[in-house]
Amino acid sequence: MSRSLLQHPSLRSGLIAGLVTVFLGLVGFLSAFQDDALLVGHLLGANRSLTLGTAVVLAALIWAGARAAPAGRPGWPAPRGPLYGALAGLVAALVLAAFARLGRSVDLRAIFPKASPELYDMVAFSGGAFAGEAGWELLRLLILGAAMGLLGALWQGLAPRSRRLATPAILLVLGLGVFAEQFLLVLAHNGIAEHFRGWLFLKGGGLAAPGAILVAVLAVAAGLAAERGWTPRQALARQAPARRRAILSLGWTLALALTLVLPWLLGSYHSDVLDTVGLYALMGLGLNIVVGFAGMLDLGYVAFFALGAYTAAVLTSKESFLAPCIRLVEGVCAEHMPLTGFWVAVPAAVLVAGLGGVLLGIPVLKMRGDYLAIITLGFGEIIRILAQSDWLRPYLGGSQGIAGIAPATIPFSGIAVAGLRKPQLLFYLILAACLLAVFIARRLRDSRLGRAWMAIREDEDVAEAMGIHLVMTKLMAFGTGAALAGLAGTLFGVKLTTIYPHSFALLVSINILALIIVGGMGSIAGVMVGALVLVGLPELLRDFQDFRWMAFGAVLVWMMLNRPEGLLPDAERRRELRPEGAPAAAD
Amino acid sequence: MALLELRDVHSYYDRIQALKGVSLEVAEGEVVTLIGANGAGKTTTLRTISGLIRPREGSIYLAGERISELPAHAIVAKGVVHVPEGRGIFGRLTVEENLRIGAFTRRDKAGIQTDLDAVFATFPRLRERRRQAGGTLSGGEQQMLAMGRGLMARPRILLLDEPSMGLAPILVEEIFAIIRRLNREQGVTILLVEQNARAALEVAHRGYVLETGHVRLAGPAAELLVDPEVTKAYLGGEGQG
Repeated sequence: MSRSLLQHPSLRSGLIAGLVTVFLGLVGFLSAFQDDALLVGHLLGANRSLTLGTAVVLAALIWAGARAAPAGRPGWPAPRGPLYGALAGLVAALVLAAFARLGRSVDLRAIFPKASPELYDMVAFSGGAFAGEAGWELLRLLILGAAMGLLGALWQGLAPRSRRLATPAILLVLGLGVFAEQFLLVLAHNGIAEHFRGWLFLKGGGLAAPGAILVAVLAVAAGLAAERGWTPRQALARQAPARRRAILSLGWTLALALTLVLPWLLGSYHSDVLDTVGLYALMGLGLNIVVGFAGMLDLGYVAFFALGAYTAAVLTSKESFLAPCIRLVEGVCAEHMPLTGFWVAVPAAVLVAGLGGVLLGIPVLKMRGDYLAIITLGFGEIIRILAQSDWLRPYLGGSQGIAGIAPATIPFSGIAVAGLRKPQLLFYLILAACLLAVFIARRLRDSRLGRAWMAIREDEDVAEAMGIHLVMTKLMAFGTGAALAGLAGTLFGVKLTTIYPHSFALLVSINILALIIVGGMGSIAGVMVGALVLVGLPELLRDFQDFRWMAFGAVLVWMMLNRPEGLLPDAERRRELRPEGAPAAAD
Repeated sequence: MALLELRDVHSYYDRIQALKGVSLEVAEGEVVTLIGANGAGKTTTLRTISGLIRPREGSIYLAGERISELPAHAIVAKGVVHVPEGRGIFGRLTVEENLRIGAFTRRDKAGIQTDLDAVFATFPRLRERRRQAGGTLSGGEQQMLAMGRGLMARPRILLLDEPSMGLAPILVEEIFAIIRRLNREQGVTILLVEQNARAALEVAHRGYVLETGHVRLAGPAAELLVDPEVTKAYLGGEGQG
């Protein structure tokens, strides 16, 4: 009896939603976003704002209702849907109420520092929760829970078409709300923020009600247009081939022009974020050659990043032990050398990192899969610990790192990329490096060597039986990948002017690997998307920083369950994981 | 002089000895088959020839040149091409990409294109499916792809490991018909390992019977087919002769 009750969808969904919310509250996730206004509107005689934290609680209640509602006829809620949904919301609300009540009587702060009275007020949707009019407060919470559950059930009952139209609208409103502050910053940088204040964004951040409605209407209109084939892609397909090519090349030119003016539109801070994204994309492209093309799981990729960064730092820093020699050389060659410092350091760092890749490659080539992953993991740590060690302190500065790395210079002019405009100027350097890496990766992928990498990835034994020289082929992958990381390391040093061993932690390797997987293993465009999503988004969600890894884990779990091939997969992975219209003939 | 010659080859998997002194010969233009029970060392013999396992004793000669010290990729480059058991198709690559990897050791673009067309002529079903992922082919088609991929290397000798394994009887017949055609019409030299001893002996010129790492019997295929011992042990004891 109790067992069958526990299996009731309303109870289960309600409990899951309630407990997840309590968990998010206890780890501090909810309170962290209690100041981020998503939406601000005039309601019931006062300005009320929906904060991101509250939105998460409401979303949990709605989700409970949607999950509990049984599937009905399309377009109609199942007969018991609304009831089940409301019940689930009610259960979740009860969990929240119990949590708030418990928190009032027992001090949980000793274990959970974030279990503050504000948190209880927040999850219970009350002013001074359960202090005076406890009964009324509880009733209000339960009604709210049931209403949200009902809403979820009704959403579940909507026709698929309505849901398809509404989803982007909701996501867009949420996205604009979450990033309102960022948008305002960019708009202010261009001096046009005032035009958007009041109707779209509010002074304190957050989306204004008219703006939210407008955005939602526009999103639905775009969805309707897409249904009728009014998307740019289909419009393009209707054109004559010659015109199509002309329009496409015009589009590419515009995209390139936009990319070139982007840092100036975005301003210093966002250009800096873009630089970081670019560096990770660069490393992603390199690691993609090793992991995505050749199928060798490398968990110590950060080592080559560090090798490049330290090589460049030693060669260009004022504090480097080599500084006297370098000054001497530069003094002698000053007249004959139009390129100094940075431009000498780049090839040196690429070379050192590439050699490092080959040297690491030689002993570990016999290893496969998991074993290779562990060995490279160890190598990554060795490099970081060496850099941090007292033994190499005279050369690499120990945990103090190396400061005073010379800025990049604009070629042949000697003008240093430094000062206020630095992130913007550095963007071009990083962009050029990324474009070079994309070019290299694409050409290699379609080459004989690329085919050999893919053969090794698919089956090492058969690849060997096909006459592929395993050692050479693997070393090429390791070396190329490492060289690109070395390039990224140089740019990283120039960007920060100081490097520490701490910058080269294991987490960097894992982050790069994750962005490849999220983007789509082996896909070059996927690396770009992955870098934007996994590096750019957390950078922008500054408050999010503490919970970055939690969200990150959640995103990875969701991705692997729902889109195992990645956001922008390459042809092979799509073929493998989403076979379409190619059924195997019967034997 | 034999095209391929094994002289007293001993091979080990770690400490377990799989070949205990195998000697055999394949002449140019011949189909030679290795038959024997599971674990007799048939697959090990092929893996040793192609360099995937190094023989601990004995040596292997290709047209008089000792190849048993060469690494696997160099042996392929010499023209010894192994079509492994279980076919070893690159499942995520297309049929055409699989075939092109077969020609990995070659750099003559025009010749590769000619051979690609020749393989498609031999296996018309592969042409129909050239853009399809190898893993989505049926078992018979995968076997054809594996053989086609082997041919792309322009082998001097093709080592086929259990080409009929896991195939429906009608496809087994087709595969053996193709082996016969490759040899009789295109002159490909083939060393064939088979569980299906009768079919193998019917297509082969000569045969070797392996037993626990030794060559137990050797002779023309027609004689082995009627040999009472072979009939009893490997041909289901029907006793034709």
